[in-house]
Amino acid sequence: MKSLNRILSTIEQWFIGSLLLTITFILFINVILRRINMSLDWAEEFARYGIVWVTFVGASVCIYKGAHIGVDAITAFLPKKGKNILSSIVILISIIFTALFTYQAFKITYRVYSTGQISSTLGVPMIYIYGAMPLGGLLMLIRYSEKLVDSIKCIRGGKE
Amino acid sequence: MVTALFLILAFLLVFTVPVYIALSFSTAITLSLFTSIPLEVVPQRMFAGIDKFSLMAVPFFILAANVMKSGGLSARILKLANAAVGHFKGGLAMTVVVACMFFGAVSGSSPATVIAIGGLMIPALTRAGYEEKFSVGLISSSAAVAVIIPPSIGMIVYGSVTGVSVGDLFMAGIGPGILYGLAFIGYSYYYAVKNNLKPEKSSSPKELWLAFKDSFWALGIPVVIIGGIYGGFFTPTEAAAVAAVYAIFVSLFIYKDLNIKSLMKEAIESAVGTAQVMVLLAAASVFAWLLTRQQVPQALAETLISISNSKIAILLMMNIILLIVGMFIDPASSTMILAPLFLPLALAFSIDPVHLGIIMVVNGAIGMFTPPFGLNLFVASGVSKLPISRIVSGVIPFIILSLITLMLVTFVPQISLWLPNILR
Amino acid sequence: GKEDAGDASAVDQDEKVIEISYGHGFMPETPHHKAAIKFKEDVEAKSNNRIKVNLFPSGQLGSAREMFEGLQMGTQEIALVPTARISGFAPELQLFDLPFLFPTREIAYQIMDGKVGDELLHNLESQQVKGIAFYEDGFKHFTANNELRSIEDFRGVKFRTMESPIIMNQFRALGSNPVPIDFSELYNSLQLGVVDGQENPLVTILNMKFYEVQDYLMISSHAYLGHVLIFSNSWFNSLPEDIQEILVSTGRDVAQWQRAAVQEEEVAYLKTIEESGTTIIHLTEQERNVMRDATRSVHDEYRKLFGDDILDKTYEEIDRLNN
Ligand code: NA
Ligand code: NA
Repeated sequence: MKSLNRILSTIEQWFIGSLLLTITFILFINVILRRINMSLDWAEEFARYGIVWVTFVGASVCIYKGAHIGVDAITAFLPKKGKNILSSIVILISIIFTALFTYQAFKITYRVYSTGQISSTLGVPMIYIYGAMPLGGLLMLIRYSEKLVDSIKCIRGGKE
Repeated sequence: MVTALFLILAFLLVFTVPVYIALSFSTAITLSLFTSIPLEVVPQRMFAGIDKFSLMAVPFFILAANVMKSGGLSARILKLANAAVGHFKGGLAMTVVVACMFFGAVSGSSPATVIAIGGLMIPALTRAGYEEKFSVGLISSSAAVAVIIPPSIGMIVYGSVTGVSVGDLFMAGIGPGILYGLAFIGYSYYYAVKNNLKPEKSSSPKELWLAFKDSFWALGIPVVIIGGIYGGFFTPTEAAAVAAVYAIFVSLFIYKDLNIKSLMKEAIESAVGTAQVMVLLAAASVFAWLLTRQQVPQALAETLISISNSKIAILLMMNIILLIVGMFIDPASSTMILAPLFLPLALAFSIDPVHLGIIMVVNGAIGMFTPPFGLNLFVASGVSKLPISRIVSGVIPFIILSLITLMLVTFVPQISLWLPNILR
Repeated sequence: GKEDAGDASAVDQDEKVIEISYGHGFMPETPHHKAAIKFKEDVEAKSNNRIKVNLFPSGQLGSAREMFEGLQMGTQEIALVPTARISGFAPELQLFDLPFLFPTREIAYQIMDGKVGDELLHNLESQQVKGIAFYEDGFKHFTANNELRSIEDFRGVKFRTMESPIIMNQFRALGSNPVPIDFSELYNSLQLGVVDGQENPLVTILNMKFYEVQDYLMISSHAYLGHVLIFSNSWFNSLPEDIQEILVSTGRDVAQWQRAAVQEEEVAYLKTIEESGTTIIHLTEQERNVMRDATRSVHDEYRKLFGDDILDKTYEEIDRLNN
């Protein structure tokens, strides 16, 4: 299970890293092409939708790396055990929200699919772009579940 | 309903739920408790919040800043800055202010400026003895007020909502922009004196020349960005991508501090940083959507304005409304909602519409670094790895300073209007 | 109170106020928003205040694409959106984008209000949206920093365009270089010279202040920018019939009013633009024909994508109306 997670996370990271590089280079190349009057029609749209993918897949990586930004006001006053319990509750809340988000994201993606919405320049069905949300949601669910298990273990074992 | 929304948000934030979840979950709960609006709107607005080309500068500047850091560009620029201004009291902090002003002015994006300058300068300021929270506060706020200096997207938005000339607004932004720069430079000097920071020993012309020569290619970054934008080669968003590619090129082939493998590591790091910021913007757009749909800013504006009856009171109330709304809603949206409400009032009290525009843009800029929701604070937290609470305490002196300056800008219209009046 | 629910609901049925969110992307001073205000006032009056319309101008509820989606989901009830901005849902609406299709504004109106327009509106049903009527920005015109008099003046000029293949091909057919740039970056791009020119209706050229950073305006009326007033289908179907009738008839009546308002304002817009020092050039009939012939290939492109049916019907109607 653990090693499966590691593989998954490596794939996620490579995906978002290379996607970001690709977008950057495409916009750069487009600037040059424009000088010789050969603008790419789709560069701008590709950049916007690429960043959507980076965001929702990256949000899962952020969980893995503990990088999501939170307000830390009360943790400073809590004892170690209290911190662990609080963190479990927070993860539980996060799981509930992420499940809700994923379900609603599936719904809207299905709607986009069933009404056949397409993007305006790439002509790509919007499902491939909205799809970043349910997929990212699922990945986030996996990450948060993993965190919940770890955190409950901590409370049981009393360790950090 | 709105009370419930804010209570749930506050509750979730206090209990350390990640900010993006607190914002979108509180909206979802409020929607399902009080309305029959389908919750599909949550992912829809999250998508909409990041599907904006003008936000694209953020990921590219994150990438550029990370590559500059590990590719040795940052270190070289720092050495030069130290050699040039390190022997002045507060010189390094002043340099940061000026750098933020330039960078923010051209990129027009204050979070992108926090990343670009912060990633570079926070370590340097720390090494020179500045407290980390001071450095982060300095950068989050200087980057924000830099957007007052033209070109400025906020002014274009205001101009299109109200019919005021964008050219006049641009001219009017220069005075307040300089004033803010001077205020922060002054505070940097005061801070250095108060904390008795030891300046570096002054460098010989030869050392300065060497530092300049060594950082020559790194200095190409600002030259490319500023020259490229003002020369009409590319838009500010594209400039960010060009800067990133330039930094990659210099690190790989000239300084050779980076190889393909470490470049990939930086790309991943940057993508994670992108997600960190964008997911917040996504969630904030869900929250702001509900506030807008419930017409909360309008209600607030109508209530507060109805109790004021003099020009001074109206100006104060407008500032208060803008600051409160700016805490939760991005500057462009709050301008679109509030400018049509404020303009007739301004005209009734003979406030120049150009001046009102500057007041709105300055407030929008301040909102970027005021808690609880200030994008610059979150970005600064990502860049510096400092917790939000430390960043908030670091930014407080700058908020106070900005508010004092705001009062000057509000009650001395000439600061804004002298330049457009000369040129009109 | 809850105890006399039976009684109360009977009263409620009559007095329950239907609240509607009506969103659009135009600024408060435009004829579009004035039309929205008129719609609000008329609907509220005609329904004896059983309907309350909340207006959200300036894209407060999101972009055209997002509002369209809002209608599909039922998070918003009414939207007024540019046809060119919802081509992802209803590609055949790009008919309006075709260069030099409508010879006059009158003909454009008759087409939109006739069977072609009906069919286009009806097609929206498959998108869970009810099309009510066509509003307008009016004809699009070219602006640039170099003098535009004939097709030769377009050669090699960089024009900003929307991200739409049909519009990009129009510029290619004129020999220009289309550059897609986001609307929010357009003013700066014109000022700093990233692009040399752009195309928009007068209402946008004025409101976005593009004339401040453009030296020439060619009154080319080369393509039409329409808007469509749309209702959320599921919401609309759930309404009592008399309310439905009020909404539809008011929506259609206001369309006529809005078009007249745009035409009236355009006179003032042109004056402001001219006074700013921008040179206004009127495209001659002869040059217009040259440009029309040069861009006919774009019509064929449309034909390839969406079939002969709509385009042929439109041509037919235009021929009929021209005679
Ligand atoms: Na600026
Ligand atoms: Na804020």
